[in-house]
Order: sequence, then structure tokens, then C-alpha cells
Amino acid sequence: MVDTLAVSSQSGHSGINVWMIVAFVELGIIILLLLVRGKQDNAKMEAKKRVLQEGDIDMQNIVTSAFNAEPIYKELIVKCHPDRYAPDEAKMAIADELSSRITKSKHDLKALAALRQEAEEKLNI
Amino acid sequence: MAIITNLWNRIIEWFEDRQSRAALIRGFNRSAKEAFVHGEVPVLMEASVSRGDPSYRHMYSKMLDSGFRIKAYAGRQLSKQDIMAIGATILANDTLVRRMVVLGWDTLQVHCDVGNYGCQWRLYEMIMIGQQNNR
Repeated sequence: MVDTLAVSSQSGHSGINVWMIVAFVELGIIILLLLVRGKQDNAKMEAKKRVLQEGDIDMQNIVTSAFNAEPIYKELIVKCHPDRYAPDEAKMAIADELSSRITKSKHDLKALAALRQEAEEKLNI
Repeated sequence: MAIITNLWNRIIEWFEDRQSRAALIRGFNRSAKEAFVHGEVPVLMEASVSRGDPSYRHMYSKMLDSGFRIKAYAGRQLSKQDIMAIGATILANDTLVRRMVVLGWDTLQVHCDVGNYGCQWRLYEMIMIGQQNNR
């Protein structure tokens, strides 16, 4: 007859040292990796903080721009084309500057509305 | 001690990220709903988190939910131009794209409720293009 409890306790006792060593080695590797990764993460975190502090995003403008900016852009880019003001050098320069700003704000409804007002004042469109 | 601090920061960062991501999606959905109700846009859009494209990964990418998906409820198949216009409007806003990238999104997906056609963009690439344009 074999005392199973005694056998299991013996086998557990004899194996614990090996597994303890393995566990310590694993712990050491994890600590090392965490230390290395922690150093790398600092720069990443700084960049992230800067981006998140950049200010509010006008979601309403983004959503409405998706469908309404293009017709206004097309209208303005035609009306503010420098060639339409060909004899007048001063107006051509204004139209040229406005055209480049209109192109940059192609998908921004609020910016296009402001540009339209500016164009109305400066070029009488 | 440094390890514990790092781990603690990581846990806090995870919760803050989740909060910021949820706030961004909620903000978009609220604006989209208001714009649709007021008749400013012809299509109801809804943003959600999805599985991103694994080939678009960058250093801030989330493990599983790295896709920012916009579904347009139009009741019909939207044209490619319409889908591209929605995507282009998002991508034209540099601040939004940068924020999406640092919050772990790497893929922007736009599709409609009818049909199986959609477009997707690699967000990190758009930041690089934006930086080049600003120079």
C-alpha cells in the first residue's frame, strides 16, 4: 500500500526549487522588459500629451462639411479665379491669394463661408 | 519603484484613452445626429469602433479595436464620390487625425448601410502627408 499523500508531497517538494528558479528568471526578464519599454514610452507619452492638448475639435463643422463644403468650394473657386480680374493687377493678386486659401480650405465649411464673405468685400463677387 | 510607477501610469493611461475615445465617438455621433435632424446633411452618419487593417498599424495602434468606422445610413448605395467626400472631410482636419492616431486608431473606414462597398484610409500616412504639405 502506498501513501498517496506522502508521495504527492514528496514530488511537490522536490520540484519546487526548479520551478522557483524558472519563476525568478521569468520575473527578471519581465522586469528588464518593463524597464526598457518604460524608457521608450516616455517620449511617446510626451508626444501624445501634446496632441491631446491641441484644443477642441469642431465636430459639427466636420459633419456638415462632408456634404455641404464641395458646392461652395466649386462656386468660390470659379468666382475668385484670377483670370476673371485680368486687367486689374491689384484685384488679380487678391484673387490669387484667395484662390490658394479656398483650395486649402476645400473641406472646411466654416472657413469657406468666411472666405466667401472676404471675397464679397474685396472682389465684389 | 520605477516599474510600479510605469505600470500605474499605464493603467491610468488605458482608462484615460478609453474615456477620450468614447468622448470622440460620442461627439461625432451627437453632431451627426443634430445635423441630420436639422436637415443640414442628407445622410445620418454613425461612428463606431471596428477592427482596423493590421497592415496599417503604427506605434500607438490599439491591439484589437484600431478602426474608426463611419456608417452612413442613406437607404441606398452611396456613390464613391460621396464616400470619398466623407473621408476627405475627416482627413482634412489635421487636429482630428492626429488625435485619432494617438488614441490608437490606425484605419478610417467609411461605408453605407446598403451594399458592400466602402473605402478605408491609413491614418498615419495622412499625418505624414499633412506634415509634408505644411513644410
